Amino acid sequence: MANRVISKLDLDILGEIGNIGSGNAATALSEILNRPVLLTVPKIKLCEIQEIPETLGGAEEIRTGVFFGVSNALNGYVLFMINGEDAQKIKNTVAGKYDIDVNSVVSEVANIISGAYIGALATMIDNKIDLTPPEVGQDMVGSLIDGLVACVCSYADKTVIISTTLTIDNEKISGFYILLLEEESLDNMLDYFNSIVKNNDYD
Amino acid sequence: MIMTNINVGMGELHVSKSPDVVLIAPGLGSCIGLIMYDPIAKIGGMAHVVLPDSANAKSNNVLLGKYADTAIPGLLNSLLKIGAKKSNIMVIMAGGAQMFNLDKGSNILNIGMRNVIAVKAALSKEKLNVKSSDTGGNTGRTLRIEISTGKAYVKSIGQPEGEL
Repeated sequence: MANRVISKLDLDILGEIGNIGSGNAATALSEILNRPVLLTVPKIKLCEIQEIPETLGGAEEIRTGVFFGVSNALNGYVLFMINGEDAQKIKNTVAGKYDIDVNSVVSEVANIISGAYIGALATMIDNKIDLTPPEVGQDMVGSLIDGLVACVCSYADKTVIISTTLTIDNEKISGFYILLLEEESLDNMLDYFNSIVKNNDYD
Repeated sequence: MIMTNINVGMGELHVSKSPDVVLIAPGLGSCIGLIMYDPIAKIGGMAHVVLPDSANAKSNNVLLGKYADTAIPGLLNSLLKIGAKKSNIMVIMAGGAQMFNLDKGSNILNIGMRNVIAVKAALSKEKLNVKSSDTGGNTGRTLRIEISTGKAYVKSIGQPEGEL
């Protein structure tokens, strides 16, 4: 997208996609865990690249990151990021006292969320979207995110960040679930939904 | 002396001749923190390079530090403008890690390594040599330089900060 200006309608569309995606993700996770799961209404932010690490908690803050590649009809990345304490909370809530590696539990939870979220998005655009298996790592926010930013911002200096936070069994997990789409994919997706909205005389 | 920390974010470029300034590129993954310093004039600068090549950039792009091929001449010219001498300039760089192993196309694969190669190529075009560097691997880094001394330090998680 050489020069798309993100409109008010675009932001509404992204918000609604985030809502449906995170609703699905919460249901899927809740069914598997058999516990109440809530995902907050997603925040949509159009970010200058130099602001991204601060938006996600601070460039030098240490986080556990679970990362997925998105391909086929849409290209981009999904990143699930939480701090160590909240990773432990997820592990305790999900696996109780069982001796399971924290990273595996976090990665599996992120996997369920991503599958449901991206699945909902695929249904909405009536097309196929693939997710790679998760990759987990611990490092500074800036270093976890900069390679992805490089890939989605090779033309423009701004990108849309869609993020939500997670609550399992009343334990608030203040993490970020982030969808970053490559410029062309974001553009195509917004055009697709814009045309649907306009054809339906949506007001 | 009270030090002033200045964050150099993704795509940014900053130069200074104030002795109280410390320039910092926090949380470098595949990005490169590039320092140029004139030890005689005690003038220095830093660029936070995100990508190798500006070929596809928007024409009205103003983030000089974002691409290797614009950051090196951009940083050099900004330093010369405030009194640095090209023959004195020494270069220090850190970053260019590969944070995730993901087999999805070739773009994200080795973006760090591609950045290192592009920065080195742009430096040799300007006939500038790298004095010291810490690149590659798979851990994040924070790079900083004190303008008063020209001393540069690099820090990774779980490791003490070391001088470069």
